[in-house]
Amino acid sequence: MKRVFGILAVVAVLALTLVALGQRYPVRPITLIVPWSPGGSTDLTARSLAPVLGNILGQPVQVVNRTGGGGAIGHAAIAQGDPNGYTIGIITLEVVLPAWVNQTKINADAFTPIALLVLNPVAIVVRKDAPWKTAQEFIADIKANPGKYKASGTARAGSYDYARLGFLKKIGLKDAALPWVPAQGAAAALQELISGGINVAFVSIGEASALVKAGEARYLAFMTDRRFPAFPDVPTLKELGVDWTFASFLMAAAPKHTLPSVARQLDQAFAKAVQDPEFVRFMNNANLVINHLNFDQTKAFLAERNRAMAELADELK
Amino acid sequence: MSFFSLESFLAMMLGALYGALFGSLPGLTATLAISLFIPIAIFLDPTVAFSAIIGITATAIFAGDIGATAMRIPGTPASAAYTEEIHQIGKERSPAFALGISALSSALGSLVGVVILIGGSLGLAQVAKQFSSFEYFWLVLLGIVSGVFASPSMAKGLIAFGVGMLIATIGYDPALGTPRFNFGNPNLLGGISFIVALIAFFGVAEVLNNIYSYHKSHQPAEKPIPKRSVAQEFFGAGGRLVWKERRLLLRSSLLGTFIGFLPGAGSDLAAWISSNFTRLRRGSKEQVTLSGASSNNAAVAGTWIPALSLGIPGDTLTAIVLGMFLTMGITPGPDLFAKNLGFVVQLYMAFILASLLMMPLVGYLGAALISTLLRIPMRLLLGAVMGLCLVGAYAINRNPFDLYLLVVLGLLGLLMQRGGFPVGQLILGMVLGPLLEQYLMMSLIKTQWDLTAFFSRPVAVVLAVCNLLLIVGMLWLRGQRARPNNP
Repeated sequence: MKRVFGILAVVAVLALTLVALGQRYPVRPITLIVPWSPGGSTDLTARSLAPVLGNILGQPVQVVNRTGGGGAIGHAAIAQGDPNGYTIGIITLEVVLPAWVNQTKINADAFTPIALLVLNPVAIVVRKDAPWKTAQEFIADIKANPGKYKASGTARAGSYDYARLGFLKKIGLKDAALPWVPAQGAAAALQELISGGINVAFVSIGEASALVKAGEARYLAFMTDRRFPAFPDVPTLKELGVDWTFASFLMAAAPKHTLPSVARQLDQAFAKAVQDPEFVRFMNNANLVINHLNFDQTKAFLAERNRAMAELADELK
Repeated sequence: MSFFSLESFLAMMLGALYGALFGSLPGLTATLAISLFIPIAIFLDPTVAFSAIIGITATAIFAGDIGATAMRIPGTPASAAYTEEIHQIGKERSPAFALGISALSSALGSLVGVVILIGGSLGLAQVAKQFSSFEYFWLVLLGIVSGVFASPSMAKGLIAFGVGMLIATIGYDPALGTPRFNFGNPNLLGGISFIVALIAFFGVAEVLNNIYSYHKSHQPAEKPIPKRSVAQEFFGAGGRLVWKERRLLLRSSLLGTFIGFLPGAGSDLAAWISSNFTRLRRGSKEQVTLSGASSNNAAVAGTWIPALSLGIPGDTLTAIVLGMFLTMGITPGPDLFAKNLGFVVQLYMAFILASLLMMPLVGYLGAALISTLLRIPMRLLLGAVMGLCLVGAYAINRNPFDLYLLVVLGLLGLLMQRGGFPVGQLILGMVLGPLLEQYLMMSLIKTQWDLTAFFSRPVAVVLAVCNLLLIVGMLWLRGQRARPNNP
């Protein structure tokens, strides 16, 4: 009996300490790691979010860019940080891309996902004088002429390549039906598109918006759940009977084994921060779509994306 | 509020000084300067924010020459094309003269670029639409061919170029996305940082070389204290030279603007191609510096052409600025000229003001500072230079691995320098090698290895013929020059 009491006492003390620790968090500045270079969408989001987050948590939040290795260095820095809540970061779509995971040995399990912040949905973009007026015409044409047209958007097995693969799979086609031309990123792919080097580009809606507004290119469809507010006339693939959505994402995350109480506290802070009017205004202007999910939803979202991408990995072989 | 308010002017001035600081220190780049400014800029009035941004971009590329002149470390990659020359001028005559040439030709080059930006944005953007991967392939090859022939010894130049290209193959394959030569080390996945290599090959190698040769030539090479003042050297002698070479200046600026406005090419490539062309024509050190400096600054204005009229950024700098435009609710494209013409005109005026006023001012300050600094004997400065190199290399990625890399590459740089291999060609290989590979692979995959496609578009054929003419012409010239020496 004495022993039971002893154990109970120890457990109680431990539990109380944990609660106390949770309540006292944070007592010193927090580091927010950005795995991509300054000026990109991840960096812009982090830098505009940091002061708001700092006000809510009562401690300054310091943004640190840890770049290199195609995002591997920064993601590793987040995953290997002390799980005490003072090292957090923003992780991106790469953590669920099989090719990236194989090369870097960093996967979604290395993190405690906290809150989804931003979704950057992908669009199917064609030149202004392309023969297809609608996405249906385009789909019918590649089904009739597999391998005739070329697509691009980023490197081979890069994020937008998976957007294409998923799209092809859902319309019942293989990788070779619409071959991928590797480019050094969206800007290079769009340059190829307007100079006639490729027929279709898979890039984010925001990346192509200036070209579309200039009348040089057209959106055929968006890979979103619902119609996109800024372009209400462009259909989603789902409306057309192609059950496929794809977006690169920015997600707040902490190292694995971070205390649940700390993670919850961060979750609440992020939930409040994304509603800050200054932050919302900045993100709207920057064409970044805030898409907040709470702790539990985020975890489910990450698991679902992980599964969807792993299924596509076989298609690449 | 307009671009001509006192606030805007002050913002431009502060931006120019801030940009110059970032530009002149190795490891702190123009891109970093702009991106650190953005969180502040979004809360400012657009005209004030853009005045500052124009001030930063105008001086950050030019200020790369300050580091090159003082310590043979180019502050930005765009200055690497003529670092040897500008440093030599500074050593042999005076840093004020070297920076005078560079600042005045930068200002005028930038002016030429802006005039073209104003006159032909929409028309030139149509030309940019002719450039697919085939055209870029031939253009990059032109840069490589001119670079290899520009080296005094073609064999050593080729070897140095090859080493540079090999170093650049480390990291992700640009076409297939598989990692190469990273030996399982995640630090090498993204390849060797170009800025770290610049600091190592120019900065660290120079320090090591100084230590190595100190005992050999013990004579401390007492610097003749220049009889004339900094202002005389900077504006007087520099201005006279720029006036004398005005035709070369115009040619280089036009070339620079043209290369700059091709999306993805940017000011580095512009500086390489035009300084190499001047070298091919056996130009003096002053001429090489002048053509490089004028063309890379002309290219800065050139990169704005596709950015403003098509919304395609010419380089990382304009990519960030485009983001700023969108943030402030301004959409680039033909609409910009219709809806926000007033804003665009003021932007142009700010650009002209920044070129004509800020560059000479910042250059003069830099020259005055260096002239004082270099009175200190070099061997006392070596420690500080080494420290600067270490801090600069660490600042880019905040990755300690880069410091080991710095030492290894620095030693390689020393070996190459002692063996008479041109470092410039090595850097050229690092810059253009990956571009060549990328456009080659892109073209081949696009056409399923159909080589005739490289000659199937009009602009591509013209560029291919240029390459051929350059190779044949230079081989013939070399033959001609070799003959009188070996009868």
